[in-house]
Amino acid sequence: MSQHQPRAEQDPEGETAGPSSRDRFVRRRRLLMATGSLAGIGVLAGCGQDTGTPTPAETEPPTDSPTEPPTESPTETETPEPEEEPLEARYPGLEILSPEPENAQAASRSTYTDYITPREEHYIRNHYPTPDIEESEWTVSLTGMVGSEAELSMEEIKHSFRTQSVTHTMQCAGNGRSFFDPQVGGNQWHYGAVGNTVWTGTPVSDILEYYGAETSEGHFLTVMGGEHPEGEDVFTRSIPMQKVMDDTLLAYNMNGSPVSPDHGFPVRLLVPGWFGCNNVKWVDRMHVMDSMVIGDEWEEPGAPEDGQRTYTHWQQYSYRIVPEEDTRAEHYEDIPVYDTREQMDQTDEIRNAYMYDQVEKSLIGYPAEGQTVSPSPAGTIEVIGVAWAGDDPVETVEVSTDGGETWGEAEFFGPVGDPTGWRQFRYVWQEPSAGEHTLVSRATDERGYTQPASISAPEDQLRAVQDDQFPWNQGGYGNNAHLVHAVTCTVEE
Amino acid sequence: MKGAEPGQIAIVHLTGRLADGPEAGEVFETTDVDVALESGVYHDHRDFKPLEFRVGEGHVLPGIDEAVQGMEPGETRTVTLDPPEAYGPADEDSVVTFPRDHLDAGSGPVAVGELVRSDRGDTGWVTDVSDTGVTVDFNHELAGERVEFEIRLLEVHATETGQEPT
Repeated sequence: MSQHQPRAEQDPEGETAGPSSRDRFVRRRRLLMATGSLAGIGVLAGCGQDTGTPTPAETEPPTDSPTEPPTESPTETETPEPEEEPLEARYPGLEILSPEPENAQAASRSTYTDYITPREEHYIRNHYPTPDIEESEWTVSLTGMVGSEAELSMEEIKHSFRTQSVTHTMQCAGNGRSFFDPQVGGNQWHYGAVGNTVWTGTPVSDILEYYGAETSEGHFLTVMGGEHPEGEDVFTRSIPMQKVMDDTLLAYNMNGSPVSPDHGFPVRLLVPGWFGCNNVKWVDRMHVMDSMVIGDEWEEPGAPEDGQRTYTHWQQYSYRIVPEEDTRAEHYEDIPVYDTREQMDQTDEIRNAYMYDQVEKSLIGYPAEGQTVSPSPAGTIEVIGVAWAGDDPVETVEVSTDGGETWGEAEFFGPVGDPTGWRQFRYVWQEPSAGEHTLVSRATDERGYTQPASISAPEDQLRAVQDDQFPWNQGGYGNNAHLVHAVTCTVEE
Repeated sequence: MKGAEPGQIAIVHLTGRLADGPEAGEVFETTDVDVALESGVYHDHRDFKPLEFRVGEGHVLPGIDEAVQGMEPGETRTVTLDPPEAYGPADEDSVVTFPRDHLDAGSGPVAVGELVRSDRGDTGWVTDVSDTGVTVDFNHELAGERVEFEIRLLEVHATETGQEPT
């Protein structure tokens, strides 16, 4: 019976003076969350209640009656793989936003003091539950404007072409969504849906050339994931051919070992420097075509309201910068520029930017939010963080220790890898005074684009960064406003 | 605008308060950070944010699931839930007495009012300690309690793959 022995938890607030049921509820939830045993809120069925009746010790009369509350979720008992560890156990560095489909973000700023993000701290963004895939049975089909269509085994992908590695800062297009005011729906990512990882795989250009694909400018490689349940929309992205031929991979290794199922095993698209959504996981099919997926051929008649969007949803409707006044994003077959910032500056031609190449952004990793720090013997505090700008190099990072009033330039340190991976920066804060301070960082990329200060109001109807403001948009995408990403810390005497 | 229907995704803010007893009106759970700070239930291990769930499929307390159905986006409703609709009735079979040495062997002496956890993950409160045994109440703290929930329906989406941002 030893596995059912209770033991005292370290309850930091463990007073014994007969707490009320409300106090006890709050205390127990704090404890369970602090120990990582519980996430989310206390109204979820099966969450507010323990998982079953503890078995009493042998000397006690047996009790057989289950105490499963009437609130028990039916899906909990149908979990297909009971032997698999729960998400929070597999990713101790993540805060779970939803256990199914799996969505989780970095739980601490401290992950942004390192160059390489361990997979245990690398965010997960799924639209459907992670599929269970047998590598030996998995194939990727190549169709469309190709000399000969193909069905590629993982063996062929791995061993019949060149192998390349790239360091890539992967960031969810919705990272920073929680800072939009008014709030927008969807996963409330704070800063934590970004990580920097080495990805290894096969250059897609090799495969396209081998099979005689049309690879000239103006064409797209439309890539589809294989994780959708039957009848649901297919996660599909159309990647411009120049980018595909330049550096895009079919990646199967992450930090030197096979990509984990939640990050796309056995193979995902890796579009260096571009927002996470382009990096289609569990790649099932690649289709060469002369436009993005659009219109009747790729969605059901009557879409979007009275028909399913099938292939167009995540390319044309979602992952777009849509101001309040638009009913929905305008669809295009092709656009003149793909960099997201440049798209936003050409709203006469692109009404609603597509989330392709990432915008410039930086995050402070030390001090972490709410941290109390002490100056070094020299009377300084070193502020550390990371900065990136998609496939464009970062030029400078500035740090403010007074909430954005005054700025000083940080210096870069650490590995200098591909420009698609982030740079680490440090800023020596001289003679910090005791008390609370607001630290802010802002990056400028090689083209001179600088992170704006704040997010606009919806009624401003912005489509581009203007007057130091990032456009509030219905989907909550692309937030790189620096003030909302500030860190508050306390300096000790 | 029509109300939330089973199968749709509802996004809500929730605040739960005790309905009875000397603490009636006290907040015990909320998704709203301002309410959390005001009422003292805030803590930094958790993000306060709206709850998103599929309506009518038993993912949340039955009373909340039911109340949301028929609400329209923007609407706020306060409902009082009896125990079966909330955290269930108190069950005396969930009050268990363990031999004292079993418990002490793992973690040292325990006292009444402490929170303990069994190795299978159940947490409960020590309600009695005798020379030979320790009694633990594994019932949910709010089992058998009537509670009140203020529900604000922010948004409803047709399906998970609908027009919501991703």
